[in-house]
Parts: sequence; C-alpha cells; structure tokens
Amino acid sequence: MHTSVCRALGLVVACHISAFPQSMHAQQSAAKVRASTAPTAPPFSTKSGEWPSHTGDTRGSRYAPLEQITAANFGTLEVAWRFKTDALGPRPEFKLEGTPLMVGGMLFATAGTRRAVVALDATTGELLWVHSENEGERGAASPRPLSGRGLAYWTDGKQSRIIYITPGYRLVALDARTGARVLSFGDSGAVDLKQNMDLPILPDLVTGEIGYQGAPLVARNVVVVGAAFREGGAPKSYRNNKGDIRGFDVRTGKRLWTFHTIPRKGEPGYDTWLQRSADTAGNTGVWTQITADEELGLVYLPIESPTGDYYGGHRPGNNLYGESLVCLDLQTGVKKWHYQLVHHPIWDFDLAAAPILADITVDGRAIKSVAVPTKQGILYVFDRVSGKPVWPINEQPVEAGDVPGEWYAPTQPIPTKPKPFARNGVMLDDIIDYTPALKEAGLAIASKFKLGPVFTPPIVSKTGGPLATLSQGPTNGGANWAGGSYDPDSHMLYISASNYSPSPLGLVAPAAGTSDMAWVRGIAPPPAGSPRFGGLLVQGLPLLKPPYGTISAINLDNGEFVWQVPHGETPDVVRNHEALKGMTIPRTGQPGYVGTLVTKTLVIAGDPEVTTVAPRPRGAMLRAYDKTSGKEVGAVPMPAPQSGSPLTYTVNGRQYVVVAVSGGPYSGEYIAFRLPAGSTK
Amino acid sequence: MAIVVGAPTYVLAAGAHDVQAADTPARTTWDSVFTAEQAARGQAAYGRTCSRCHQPALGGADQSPPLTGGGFLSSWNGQTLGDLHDRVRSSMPTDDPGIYSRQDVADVIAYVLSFNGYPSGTSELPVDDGALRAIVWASSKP
Repeated sequence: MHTSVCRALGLVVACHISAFPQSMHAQQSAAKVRASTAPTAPPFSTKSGEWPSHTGDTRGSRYAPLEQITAANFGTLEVAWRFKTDALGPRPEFKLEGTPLMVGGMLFATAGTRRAVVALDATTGELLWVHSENEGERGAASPRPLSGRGLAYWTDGKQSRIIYITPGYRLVALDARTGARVLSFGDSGAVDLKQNMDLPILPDLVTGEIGYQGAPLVARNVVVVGAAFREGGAPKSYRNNKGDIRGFDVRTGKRLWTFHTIPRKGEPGYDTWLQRSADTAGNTGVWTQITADEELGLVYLPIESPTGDYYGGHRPGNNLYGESLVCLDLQTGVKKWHYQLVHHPIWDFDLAAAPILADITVDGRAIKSVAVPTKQGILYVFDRVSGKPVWPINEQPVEAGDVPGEWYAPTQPIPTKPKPFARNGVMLDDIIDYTPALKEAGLAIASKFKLGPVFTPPIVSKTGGPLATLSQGPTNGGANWAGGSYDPDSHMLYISASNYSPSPLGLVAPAAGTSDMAWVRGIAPPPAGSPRFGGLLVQGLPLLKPPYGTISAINLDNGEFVWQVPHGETPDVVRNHEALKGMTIPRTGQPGYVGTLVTKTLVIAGDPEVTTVAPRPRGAMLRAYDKTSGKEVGAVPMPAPQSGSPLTYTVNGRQYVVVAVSGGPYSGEYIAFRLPAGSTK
Repeated sequence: MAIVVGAPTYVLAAGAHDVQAADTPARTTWDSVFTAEQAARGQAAYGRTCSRCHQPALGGADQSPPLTGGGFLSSWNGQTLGDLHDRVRSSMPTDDPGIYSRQDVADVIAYVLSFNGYPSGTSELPVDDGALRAIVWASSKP
C-alpha cells in the first residue's frame, strides 16, 4: 500500500521491508526488541543508556555517562556485530559518515548510496526494517549525495518518528516501529524542501542546487533543516540559490519559520553587502550540524561561506551572516544575536563543526556558553544567551591582498582565549625538518608559495611564482563536521584537529565558458617545458612538521589546555621511509576528520588512516584515552578508518560502542563493539 | 597544559617497507608504470571533471577527500591499481557514476600517480584489469 502511494506521487519506489511477505517477521522482531529493553519511555537520554539525538543530545555534547567500558577493559572489546551497507543503493559507498541513534533497543541509521534508513536490533545488528527512496534524476543531481550523517528521533510518548532528509532534499517522517512513511506529515509523509522557500530554487526542482547531508535537528517539536551546496572553489556563477534555514512542525511538516542567512532588502545586515550584492549572492547555508538549547528555546546556526569560497569580489562588504554564529528563537526563527567569526569570507572557513553548548563557571560566574570549534583551529566561546564573548575577542588588523576586484576586510576577530588548538597558518618554521636534506627539499617546495599566518589572503597564481598562498585550515584542517565533545561534569571540551592539510589558495581566471566569476581557485600552468606543480610531498613525506593530528582537552572554566596528544598511528610512509631509517620518531598522529566520544572515564576516537603495523593486520585502531590525562589506555583494530563519529549505548546491561568505517577500497560498514560475554558484572 | 609524550615511538628498521613481501607482485607504482603523455591526458580529464570537487591541487575539500598526502597514500598502500581503477570507475563522479571509460580512468590514475611523485616511463598504464591488478600501490619506495 505504501509503495503504491509513493508511485502515485511519482517516486519510483520506497521499499521498506513491511511491504514484503517477510515483513511480519521483521515487525515482530522490532516489537520484541522494544519490549525487551528498558527504558522505553521518554524522555530518552544518554543518561539512561540511549543515544536519541545525533550528538547524543541536541547540544553537540557527544557524551554519555556510561562506565562499563573502562581503561582496564577497553582492549578486550570484541566485535558484537557488523552491518555492511553495500546493497542499500545501486553501488557500494566508500564514504560512510553516519552516527546512528539508539532508542529502546533499536538502532537507526542512514546508509548506502541512496541514503536509505535502516533499523537494526542494537544487540545483534539484525535488520528490522529498511526504508529507501529512489529519487531518480533529482537524487543523482544532489550537491550532497550518498548516505549522509544521520537522522533524528521524535516521540510524544504515543507515537515515535524517524526524521531524515533525502539526497534530493525532501524531509521525510517515518514510523520508527515499521519504517513506513507517516502519511499525516507533509505530503503523504514528506515535505519537498526545494519548495516551501521564500525564493524559488533555480533552475528547477530536479537540478536546482541545494541539499543537506546532515542530520536534521529535532528540538521540542521543531525540525530545523540545514541547506548546502556544491564545493565552492570554482562555482559556475556568483549568483546562486540562497541557503535559508527553516523550522518545521514535527507533527504536521508545516513550515514554521524561515531565517534569511543573506538579509533581504530592508532587513538588518543587508547593508553589509555593498553594491546590493545580497540580491545576487547565494550559498551561506548551514551544511553541518545545528544544535539547540531546548530549555532556553534557542537554536544555534553555524553558517558557511557565501558564493565563491576564495574570491569575494562579486560580494563586497562583510557579508552577514556568512561565517557567523547565529542564535535564533527555536519556535519563531527570530534572531536573538549573531557574531561573525570571519568578515568577508575568502578562506572557506565555513563554520564546519556543531556548536557545543556548555554550562561553565568562569571566575566564579555561571555562564551558559556556546563553543564553536573551527577549521582555523580557533575555539570561539560565547555566552549563549547574550552572544557576548566569554573571553575578549579583539579585532586585529590583517593583511590586505592584491587580487584585482577583491574587497578586503581590514580586521578579523581573534579570541584571547583559548589559544588555537591546531596549526592555522604556514610559516617557514612549520616546514619538515626530520633531516637537513628533507628540510632543504621542503623549503624548496615552500619557496614556490606565499606563506603567512591565519587570514593571509589568497593570491593570483603566477607561472613564475608564487603559485598560491599556502594556508592551513580551509581544506580538511582544524575541526570539521565530525565535531568535538563536551563533558558536562568536568566542563572539559575535547576536540580533534587535522593538523596537516596545507591548502594552496591560488586564483586563476576561469576557463572560457565555465564560470562568470572573475577568479576561481586554481594553479597557474608552468612555463613551457617545465614540470608542472607536483604537490606538497617531500619525497613522499608531509611538507609540514608533525603532529599531523591531535586531540586536545580544554577546560572551559578557564580556557586552558589540560592535555593534547597526537592521535592516530604514525603513517606507514613515515615509519617506513628510507630517509628516516634508524631514527626514533615519536607518534606523529594522522590528519583527518575524527569525531570524539566521551564517556564517564574515556575519550574514544578511531584512526583516520589505515596503517600496517605488525603483528596486527592492515587497518586502523579505535583508541581510548583517559579523559583526565590524555594517556592512551587501550585500542582495538578496525578494518578501515573511522569515517563517522562513534556513539555508545547500553542495552540489556551491556554497553556498546558503534562506529562507521570506510575509505579507500573499503566500503561502508557500521561496527559494534562490546565486552566479552561474562566479563561484565 | 601537559603535552603527553608517552605515546609509543618507533625505531625505524632498515629494510622495512610497506608492501607485504609475500604478496608483492613483480611491479609497484615505483616501476614507471605510466607515461608523461598519459599523465598529461589525465590532467586534462581531471581538470574537466574531478577538480570541481577534489580541487585543482588534489587537496580535496569538505566533502571530497584529498587525492594526495598521507591519508590517500595510506588508503591505497598495498592495494592494486586494479582496486583503485574499480573504485574510481564504479563510484565517480558521484552524480553520474560509471560514465568514464576504462581509458579515462587509467589516464586520471596516471595523473594522480605523477602528482604524488611517482616516476613516469615509456609504457602507458594499461586498461586491462588483469594487468592493473599486477601493479601494487606502494607509498614508500621499496
């Protein structure tokens, strides 16, 4: 029946298991799971062993006060179950980034190249139901394809729903027990997010560029939906669809409010777009996770760059609310306050990580704060009620560039505390120096670039050099979507950093007919007969010094670091390099997106790269650190890198840790770990 | 602040290399398995399609992994170029996978190898699956 309804709507499919003969068994299994596990009554929380929201709660915490898995036994963890996602779409996926939810013994996740939703028995991984929508050309045209990062759970105690966003940008509500669409929500269970906009999505609903791969936020009875676009280094046009953020009624799917991330004429902030460029600029959405304080009724939007990640000459001015943290009223969408972290964004410093809500005590004063980890390795901390910085943030003069047509902000806001948790510029002192010869080779490569601290602007790439500004952060640096964690008991914030991702920010004129932008990201071709730019490796080694990846613990009561450790095995290419034979190299860590999980005693995170370290097989390690000291206390192998942030939960008295792995030749898989039977009290 | 330095350290052993000796076919990516001309073709193809997501300098972006550097090299170290060819051909581009010919994919792989510092030679990277599976990606020079 459900399938026929979908066909009537023009959708090709919707296969959820209950449409097939075996559905009876599947539904009985689901019911059995729910009946056998406690608690099953809301409000669900990580305190009771559930994981009911993408980050555990709606506050970005990624924290659960569970304590069965400890420093003493982490190394004995064994695989409880594995769930391979290959068949959930027309081809396998190699980039599984989801964090599932767990409520009432059922685990809910997005998976596969069609972004199916699956419900699994949380103790065995057995498939209970699957819901998948084939969106055809519209799905294929998505700027944010593949399995996405997760979904949301809602219940009023009588009914329970799974809410997710398809690659084709539809907001879908499913019955959490069966996977069937909730027909009373939106239009037969779905809201077309390309409609319900204040401006039409161009050029049409099928190919119009907008989407979202994050988990929608459900707070109170409001669904808050992000908006995302294609990579913005070389957009086809400086005109694009706008990334308005919207709230919907979780019961009906009715749109409650819209926030214009690019102010319309007559709205505050419009004047920060000179030459009326707010009328033409687009993007400026939120592609990462949105968080909310349900008690205060406030929602926090981490907003990305406007159109043109590295060139803003078509949008002179500071460009509110580009790269700003914006606080809205959850129920109405009315802006409470904002703080722009980067004026006139030209570094692609999107606010990429979920804002973390932290109740802290600074100099004896209780503060409800919000902390924003960023690509530029800076943690910005605000009073989340007033929007005022917890520690002073100074407007500091920054270098003006000389790209023709560009408009430069003369200052940028730099916090006085905490100090940066990641390298965020590239200076001569950052260049590799394992040996004098490697240093010399590294300096030779660096000489082709303009170096400088954070906020050194992009340059026009020149054949004779410099080729680009060599920056650290815009591409894969600092903190990104995988986000940080917060311990509400100790007031410690934990954040991983990708500390090695040098990004050449060069600009070139676009190839004829490819864009109406004056400049797009690129590298000038070499002189005739000369070798082309060959990357940023020094005899295969990273151009910059280690550590390449870290995890930091920052006390938010005083803004001080408590510990920082390199995270991740030393890469094979370093351990086995000919030029480093006989040298003793401390663990370097690895660059990459690594989400952390905090429990009662541990910080848990997986390696972002595979290594081959005898005697274990090729793979990556899931590691645990003592959260008070940073000392590694245990590790277990995984077949591939951590590619989604882990979660933890308890069912039937046993604690589980589940993590998504994938990458390179290894297709997506969720793996659940738990202690061996009989080892728990 | 305490910078924990108690993490394991490694004394690098002479003769160690990444590829497992027992499984090592005759050729690795260090054996000049593509030509400069092929890499140039691959660069042009990369610029037409791949660079919109993976960026001109192969550094990747928020949604697209880098095709150079430690993570990329680690992912493919010890894997065959047949594995890499399959992966690219079957999953790229994400909005229309499968549109590239075997030759296109081989050319782009040649460019990626070149960009990452592997030597070119006088024979092109083949498109035949069996031949590609006889070449192993080795992140460190054996």
